[in-house]
Amino acid sequence: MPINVANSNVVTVGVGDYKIVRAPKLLKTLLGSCIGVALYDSTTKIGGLLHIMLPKRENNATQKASKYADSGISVMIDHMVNNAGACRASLTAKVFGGACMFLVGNPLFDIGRRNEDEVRRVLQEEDIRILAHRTGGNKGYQILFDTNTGKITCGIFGEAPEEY
Amino acid sequence: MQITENHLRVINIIFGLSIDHASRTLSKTLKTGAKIEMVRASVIDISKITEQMNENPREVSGAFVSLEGDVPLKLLFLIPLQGVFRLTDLFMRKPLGTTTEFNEFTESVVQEVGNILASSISNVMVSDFGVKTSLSSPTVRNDFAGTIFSMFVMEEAMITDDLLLIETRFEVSKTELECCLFLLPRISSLEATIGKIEVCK
Repeated sequence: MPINVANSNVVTVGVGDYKIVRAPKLLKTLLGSCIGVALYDSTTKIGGLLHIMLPKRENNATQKASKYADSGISVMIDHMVNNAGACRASLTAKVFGGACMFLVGNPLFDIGRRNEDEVRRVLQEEDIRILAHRTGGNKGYQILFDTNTGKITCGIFGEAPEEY
Repeated sequence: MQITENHLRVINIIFGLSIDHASRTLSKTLKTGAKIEMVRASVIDISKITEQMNENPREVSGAFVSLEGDVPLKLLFLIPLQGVFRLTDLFMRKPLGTTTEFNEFTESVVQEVGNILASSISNVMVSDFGVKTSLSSPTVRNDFAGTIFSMFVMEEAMITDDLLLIETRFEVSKTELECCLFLLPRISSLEATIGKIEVCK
């Protein structure tokens, strides 16, 4: 069931990209095997949403650091703190997506799972606590991040939306 | 690889002819006018195009087909979930409104339309340009349009930040079906593809 929002305050995030906004703006994206990492500073009400496509930036990787978990999270943190004015110590995370969209038997090709593992590793390394998560399955995710409250509405295809 | 204006001109000609043929074949199959028009062939940043697709959380059915050989490309046919019922009625020669639930017939119809479109495009490649192609079996998924589109571009996006995307406008007469057909040629093979076609001319 899609979350329908008719609101000019909503900013959409594409694959391999991130957006940072301040309340009252909202952030939204759609996910499959990709992972959405929402970072929030409740003191300044600044939120960032990163749409990660792949776990690691290998040697032959493309230019866009925000496509990869191991480079994208630190890029967004840096932007949130040094450009937008978020407080580094107040940042918390919520993580969504990582579905297994491609029917394959080999877990090495389960990109969603590998994305999630890498996101968790990087967030731990950055000392950022994960307050909520909804990951896995084999259906798409729609998420809507309200930077006024820090709440995220997550709708999985065919299911009623839930708040995290 | 740098995509030039000349590359885009050749792509517009090849795929314009292919899509026109696909349009006529589908019209014959459905016994009603199915008009597929090429909107543009362009090189576009993956984040920008997926942002556009994520704007509207439409629920759709999508058929994926891969063409391999001299002209490697992927095809995605998208149709809103409610439109699948009307498409099934047209396909099965039943009065509009007969089909009301998803089942193996509705899935087969989406799969078959994907197959018809891909085969028509492939036939033009073979007959008009003398290139070799082979088709994969169509795979059908129901999900959010943005999620299905992300699956479609995933493989190409692993190796590049920009996509060479061919977008079409798709109407089926006497219905309100608003479908989309996307073609995604593999950028890394484009030089060889155009070389093959120019040699054949």
